[in-house]
Amino acid sequence: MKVRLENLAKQFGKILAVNNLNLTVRKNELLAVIGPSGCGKTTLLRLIAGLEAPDRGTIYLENKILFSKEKGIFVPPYRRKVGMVFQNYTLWPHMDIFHNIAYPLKIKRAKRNTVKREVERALSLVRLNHITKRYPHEISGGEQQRVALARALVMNPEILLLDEPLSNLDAKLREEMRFEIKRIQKETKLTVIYVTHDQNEAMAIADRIAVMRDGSLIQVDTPRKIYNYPKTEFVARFIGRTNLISCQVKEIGGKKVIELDGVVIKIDGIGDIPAGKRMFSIRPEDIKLTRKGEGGVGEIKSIIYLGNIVNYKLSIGSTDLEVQTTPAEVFEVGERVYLNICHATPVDQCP
Amino acid sequence: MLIAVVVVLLILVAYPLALVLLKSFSTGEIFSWENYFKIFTSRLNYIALFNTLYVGVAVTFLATLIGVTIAWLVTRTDIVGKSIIRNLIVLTFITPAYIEAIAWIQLLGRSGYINNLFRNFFNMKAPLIKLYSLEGIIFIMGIHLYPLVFLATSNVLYATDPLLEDAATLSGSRGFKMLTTITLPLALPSILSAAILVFIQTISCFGVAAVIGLPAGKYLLTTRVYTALSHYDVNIACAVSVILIIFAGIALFAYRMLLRKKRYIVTTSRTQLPTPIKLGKWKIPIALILFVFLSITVLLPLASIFLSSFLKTWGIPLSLKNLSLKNYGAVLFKEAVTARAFRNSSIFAAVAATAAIFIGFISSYFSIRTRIAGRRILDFLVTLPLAIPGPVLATAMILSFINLYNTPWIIIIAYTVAFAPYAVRNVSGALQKIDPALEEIGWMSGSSWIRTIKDIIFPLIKSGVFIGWILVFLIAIREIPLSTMLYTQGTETVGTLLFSLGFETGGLEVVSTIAVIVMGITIIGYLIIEPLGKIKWGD
Ligand SMILES: Nc1ncnc2c1ncn2[C@@H]1O[C@H](COP(=O)(O)OP(=O)(O)OP(=O)(O)O)[C@@H](O)[C@H]1O
Ligand SMILES: [Mg+2]
Repeated sequence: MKVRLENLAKQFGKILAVNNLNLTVRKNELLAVIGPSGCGKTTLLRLIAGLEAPDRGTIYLENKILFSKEKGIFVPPYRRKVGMVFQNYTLWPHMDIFHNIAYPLKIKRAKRNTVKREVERALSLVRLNHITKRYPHEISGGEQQRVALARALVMNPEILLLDEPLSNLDAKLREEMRFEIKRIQKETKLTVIYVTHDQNEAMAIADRIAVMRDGSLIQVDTPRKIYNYPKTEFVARFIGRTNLISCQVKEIGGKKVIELDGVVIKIDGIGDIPAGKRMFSIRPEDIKLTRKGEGGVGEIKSIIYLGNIVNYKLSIGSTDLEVQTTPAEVFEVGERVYLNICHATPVDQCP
Repeated sequence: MLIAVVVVLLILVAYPLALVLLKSFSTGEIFSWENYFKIFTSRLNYIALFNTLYVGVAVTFLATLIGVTIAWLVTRTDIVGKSIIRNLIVLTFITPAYIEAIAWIQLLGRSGYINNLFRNFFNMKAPLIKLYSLEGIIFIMGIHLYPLVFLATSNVLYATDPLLEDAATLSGSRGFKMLTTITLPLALPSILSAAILVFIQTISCFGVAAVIGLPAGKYLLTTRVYTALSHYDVNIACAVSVILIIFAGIALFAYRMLLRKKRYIVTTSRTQLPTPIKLGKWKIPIALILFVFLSITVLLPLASIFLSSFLKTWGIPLSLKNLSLKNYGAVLFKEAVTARAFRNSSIFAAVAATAAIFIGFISSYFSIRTRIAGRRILDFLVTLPLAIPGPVLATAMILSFINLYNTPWIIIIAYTVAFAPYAVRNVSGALQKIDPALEEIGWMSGSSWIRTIKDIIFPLIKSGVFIGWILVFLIAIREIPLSTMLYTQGTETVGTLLFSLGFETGGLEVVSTIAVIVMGITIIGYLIIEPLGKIKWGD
């Protein structure tokens, strides 16, 4: 089911939690929303779910209007066909697992065998079949997580909203659950909006990533594009590690080079860019180091050897750069090496 | 230290109660069931038993209904005047039940203001409402105790994670369905435990039961203990006491079990409440009903007491020329008995509060901070009196410390034993919040046990201790059953005056004056401790 948000805004007192936000979520897509704490991710989900009414804008589900300030339409949450999983699962502590999951069906006055069948279906989707009689405080965090997911799925929603669903789990479990969620999404052909502050999580499972800041979306793209072609300094910094450098773009002998503190560095893959001053995002692994060669020279300041990769800090003039290489060739502190940049993305500076 | 305190408590609590139990099985020298047999065969006794259960259950029901309803309105809807509602309810709660009873006698008694009004208006003979009845007791105790349920319920409704209700909203649940399947069940452990406290307090109540019930010949177990003892029927008094303790004890046990279960409740540190339910067109009518209810149950009685305290004599109409300050002069200065009573009460309450805090501190310290064997016995002994109604404790004191009967000490000991649980609750509440590491640092830097407590622990729990002290003082200064049953000439207290004058129509104006002074002290005390931290009213 396709979701479309137009000029959505929500204000709490003086805080603009969601600010003129436009977004289209495609059918059967898993869209990850990522952004710093307090940027309005939760609020965005609550607006889509109908737990909160926007101050402005329109929400569409396919062609149906779920909310429109202008037309005075507000479809209540229980008619929106959305399921939601909250940050800390929020299972009802006074009900056992079966009744937690069955609750939405019971509210709809479903028949007893229907309830039983549907709960079992939801449970098998999240691969939990043996704990229905236990209470939430008697099961592990990972299991609670699955139950919360099952409760959201049992209603057969068309859209699933997940608000940092894995943030309370330990690293190992988190990785496992990521793939579970991805699998469930594929199996059920759901449209999923997945809020997280963990960029690895977003990169791993999202079809597209939406980067949010101060209530608006800054960039919505596939993980690869977001990583390789961040449009702004903020996105580049937020997703992955990067070197942000301001430098002169020049053309020498038909080839683009950049000049950093008077040092000229060869650079590939910056595409068509006019000469002049520009800010670039250069990923640490996109800088190649060689002992012999030509072009810019930097001095290695420190090394962190991690086995499969090696991280260097090196300096060119007054600029520090982070570089990541394979351990095929290891350099020493103080060594002077040639730099070769194979990919750089020009980014806009943020206000 | 621990042993010393345990021994003291064994003497002050366990020994007296054991004596009561022993006496309840004796008719002369030998062991027999005769006293219990008498209870179930003599009308006076078994009626008192039924009355107690009837009143206890009815008050619990009434208080829970009112308390939960208002708590829900205040925490979950957009009703207006939330803080006024809260403050009025707190005011109801800190007003002693007995003073409320006196006020209602002034309003609805045979020559009460409202009755007179109606009599003149409609020319009726019979009083409008039969106040002197079990229902009268139920009404007054219900009104007095629903705040306990209100406070407990609204606290838990404030604290429950609003997302639990959001999740239910997304499941299609709303309105009444949400209330009955999510909101109330989540609060249920707290509601139930408050309801149990209400039950215990009701079956332990003495002042109201006496002043409203006795004139109509309606006995409860507490008043039955009192009258049996006044007729020197010690064995029956003991047997009735034992039955009363069993009821209260079972209830207290249930309460403890519930507290253990309560832990599963998911609370949040977020202060945010779920979006309030819009009452819409009901907003004004519901608010109106609530304010009328609060005015009638809180403001009207207090106004009546206040105005009557200036009346020259009870019975004359409330007009400006009949009002004067003479009662206050008489009560505080002229009348030797009343002046003495105020002095006695202040001293007894202060000494008892200090002793209770001391015992409370030792007991909380050992049960929270150590694993010493015996700490559980200590805790049990200190909190046991919660299940012992005043008249029963008074009986036990008389049996065990008859040598002290003519001295203030018997009253002070009784106060200390009876109110130590309140001290424990407040001190242990404060103590629980301190990181044990702080204390260990004290130990490691070589300071002695006493020094550690004095320099490190005490400063941190100061406000809890202070709250506990003031609370015990406020409760003790107007205590009725213990004082009434243990005083002799010279050891009169505020409570004995309130009690004896409450039965005489002629004394209603003086009672009012005393009541106003008591209310003044109570409100001042409350305002002092309220900002300091959470007050634990015995729960
Ligand atoms: N009900 C509310 N009342 C007042 N302010 C609110 C409310 N809900 C959210 N806010 C504010 O709106 C802003 C956005 O909040 P939101 O919870 O959407 O952020 P978030 O991106 O989910 O943050 P986090 O990553 O920490 O969960 C914050 O500044 C928050 O304080
Ligand atoms: Mg959030």
